[in-house]
Amino acid sequence: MELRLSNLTKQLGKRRVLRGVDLLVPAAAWMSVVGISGAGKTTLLNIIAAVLEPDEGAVIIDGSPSGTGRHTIAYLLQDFPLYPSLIVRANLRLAVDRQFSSRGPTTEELVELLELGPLLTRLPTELSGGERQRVALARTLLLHRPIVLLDEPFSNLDAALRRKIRRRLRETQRAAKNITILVTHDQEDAISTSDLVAFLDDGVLVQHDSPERVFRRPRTDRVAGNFGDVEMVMLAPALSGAFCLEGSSRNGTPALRESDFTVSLKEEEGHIVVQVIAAEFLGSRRRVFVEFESERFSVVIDSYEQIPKQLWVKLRKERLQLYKDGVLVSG
Amino acid sequence: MLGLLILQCAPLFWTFRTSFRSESGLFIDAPERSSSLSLSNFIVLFTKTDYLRWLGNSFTLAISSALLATICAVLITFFLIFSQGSWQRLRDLVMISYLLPAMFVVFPLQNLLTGTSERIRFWSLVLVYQMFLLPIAVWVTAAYASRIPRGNIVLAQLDSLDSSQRFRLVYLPYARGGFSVTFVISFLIGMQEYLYNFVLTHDEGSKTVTTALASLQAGDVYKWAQISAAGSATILCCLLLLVIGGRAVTMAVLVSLGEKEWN
Repeated sequence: MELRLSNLTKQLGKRRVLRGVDLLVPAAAWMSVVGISGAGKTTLLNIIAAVLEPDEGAVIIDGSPSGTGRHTIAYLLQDFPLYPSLIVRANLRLAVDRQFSSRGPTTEELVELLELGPLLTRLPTELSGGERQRVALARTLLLHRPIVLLDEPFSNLDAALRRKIRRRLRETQRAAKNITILVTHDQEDAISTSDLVAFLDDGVLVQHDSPERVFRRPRTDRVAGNFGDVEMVMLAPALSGAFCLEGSSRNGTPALRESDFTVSLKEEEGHIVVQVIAAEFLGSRRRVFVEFESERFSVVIDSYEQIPKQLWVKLRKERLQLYKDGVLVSG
Repeated sequence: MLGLLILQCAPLFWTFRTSFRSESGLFIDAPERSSSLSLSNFIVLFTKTDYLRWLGNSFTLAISSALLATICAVLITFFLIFSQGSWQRLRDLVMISYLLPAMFVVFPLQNLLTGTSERIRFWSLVLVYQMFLLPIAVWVTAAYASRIPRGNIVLAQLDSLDSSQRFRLVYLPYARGGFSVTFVISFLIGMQEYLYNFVLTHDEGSKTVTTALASLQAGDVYKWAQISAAGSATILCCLLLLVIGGRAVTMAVLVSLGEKEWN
């Protein structure tokens, strides 16, 4: 089963939320939809689930319009709705009664994975936000539908549980061979789980590619700035000159990830010396804000290193991207 | 707030106080300073007038019409909540019927019911009352139903729940608080109704408290103390009925949902 979105356009009030979105999600793929708030991610899911009608375009599931195939879609909504008068066990049973096929996780597996055991006899009003989210996630997965839509499914979960659930969900998805579309703000969710990433910017599908390509070759400076755990550094003319990039900078702005600088604590050949202004602790790494001839940028170093007063920096030219008017032109 | 409370309570106090006046103060409409209290007005009301029948008629009409209005409003709101698009605007449109002058309805109805028996005319009032009860009843239930989270409505659609499941699992848990409020408001409005009852029924046996109070008029003066006694007795009966009836209805709803057992 494959999912095709053809020229999806939607206006809500006076705002065009989606503008001609075209994309194909192949069978058994996990795709993450990312983008800044208000980019149209949830609207896209609502249209795929036939909760909203597109103004133009169509959602095509295996060659047929999706309106006829709602029963093939399981959708975890952003506010994690549950039936308020039913205890958790009954909420899950209701999903089991509506299973599309027998292929998928069982109630027992999901109760164990999502740690729902102590919650089974509680009413939804007696659950915390994170507990409610786990129950809603379980009931969505219990439907065993060929297409699963998840809108911020991990947002209220603790970091350790989040990682564990994410990994197991991916295994479950691979076994069930369903299409999963994940809307997330969390870069780690998108990068670690996905076969494909779709980046929406103000209703426009800017990039639809593997996570590696979206990270390494972001199509616009906005994708670059909003995807990945390390920032993209746009090199100002003074820096381009210092790194001998005058030739390429005539055709646009050279840019590279802050992790693509080679950083040394002592003087080395081919490196430029920069002054350290500030530093952020990121866990295994440290982001260091540096200045060169009043141009500021950031690099990352091992967090176990002491923060020096100056650093020697060189860039990896093979990782340079060139942006003109915010759009990738080469790299 | 205190001012509002005084404004609300002053007429009630005056009604109660006046109803306990002695026979000498029967026709006086001004507040009385005398501290003597008498039950004579109540004795006259219950022994020398048809008050109990009027009260019975009022309750019969108000309860029946409030029940019908509540059931219709609950079903209409359920339909509006789960329908999409322009149907949802109907909730506001129903209020337009209040702009219709009552005489446009009363006279055609009077013609329509001419020649029918008094019982039919009496029971037809239950339907006639819906004209003014239903819009407010729909409005109140819809206000309560608007507390249903959008996500739950979508969830019911995605799960392809049938109508009875949607009613039981989504609508009832959020909107049921509004059912009793709708019933109480409809009941109180029904108890106050005068015009349609006055125009459409003619028999003494069909009178309600509101229309029958006119018979406590003696020439061009009013027996204020007896009218007040009738008012006080009606208020007390309404309160008793709402407290006992309200508990019974709430209990019945909770039992039907399996959330409580009769005890």
